[in-house]
Amino acid sequence: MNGLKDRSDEELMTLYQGGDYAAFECLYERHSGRVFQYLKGKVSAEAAKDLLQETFLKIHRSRSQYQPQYPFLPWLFTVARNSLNDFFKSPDQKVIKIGIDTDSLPAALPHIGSEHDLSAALSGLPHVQRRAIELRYLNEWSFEKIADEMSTTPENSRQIISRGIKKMRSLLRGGKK
Amino acid sequence: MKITEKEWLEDFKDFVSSEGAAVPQDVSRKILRRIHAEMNPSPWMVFFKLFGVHLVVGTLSLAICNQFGLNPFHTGFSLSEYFMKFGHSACMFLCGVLFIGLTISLCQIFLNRDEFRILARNVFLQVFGLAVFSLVAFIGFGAEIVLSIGLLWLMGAMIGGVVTTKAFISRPSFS
Repeated sequence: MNGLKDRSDEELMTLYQGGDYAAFECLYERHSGRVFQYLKGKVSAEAAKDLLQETFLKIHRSRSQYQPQYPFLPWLFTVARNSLNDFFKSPDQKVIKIGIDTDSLPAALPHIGSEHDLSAALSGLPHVQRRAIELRYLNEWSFEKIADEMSTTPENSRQIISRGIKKMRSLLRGGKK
Repeated sequence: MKITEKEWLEDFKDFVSSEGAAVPQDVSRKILRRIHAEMNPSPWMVFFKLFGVHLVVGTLSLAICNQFGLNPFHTGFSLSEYFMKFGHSACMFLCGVLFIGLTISLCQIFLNRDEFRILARNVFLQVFGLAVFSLVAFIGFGAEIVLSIGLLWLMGAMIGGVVTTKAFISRPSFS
């Protein structure tokens, strides 16, 4: 394992493709945190745990398709993104829809801080949340139209916006301390 | 979610530059345990899968090459007639090669790479088990097998199984 730590991702993938479990373990240690953080920025922590598992299982099952002459990270990122897309398209999302209080979504962005604060908080959001909030509050689109644009369901678009606003609030509160 | 190339790049930059969040230990344990289990299937499980494939493929192969005179399909054609041109011993040897080699060849469809790797790791034992089971089944169905002829068939079966497995696993596409 010690020797493996000095190897590049691509070399580890080649070993892993050849059936070396320790090489996979090394890749997992190296990148699982990054993937988890990325997923946590897009979905709830609980869903991110499931998606992390899904991502690494997908990597395992499609490892023979990876070509070591290409860098590993974009491939890993693409697999993580695909897991995320599958998650948003999945009918299981209904489970998550329960408990979303759509009435709690404000009609406009909260006036907690100055325009500068808001813009800074907005830029601190993951891309998907930022885009959804912009479409909702700047373009004044309906949830249905946003859902259509983002290839997801209206309930999901509400959820994405709801999470984005919560995150903005915490960013603004954090910024004021 | 449909995104443009620019958005993908932005997202990817965020992904690469992130320091990473601590993954809960129970989640990591679960993932690593699962991958470990998938990469190391039980040799017994592999053998039972192999046996299942052999039961079907082996039986069907009797239609094109009868073994010790057994052909439940009563087809008029048998490769053993061609093999007999090289002598009785060669015929027995080649029949063994074909009988097990065909199963291993078709196993590539039914076993995944990890299972095939386990098969390759224990190839002598796995193929020997398969060949002995086959011989016992032939005797059970009424074949009269002389020891020397049976041993020649067994040798052919072993070589057919081992060579087919090694040939498959050493292909560059198998990695």
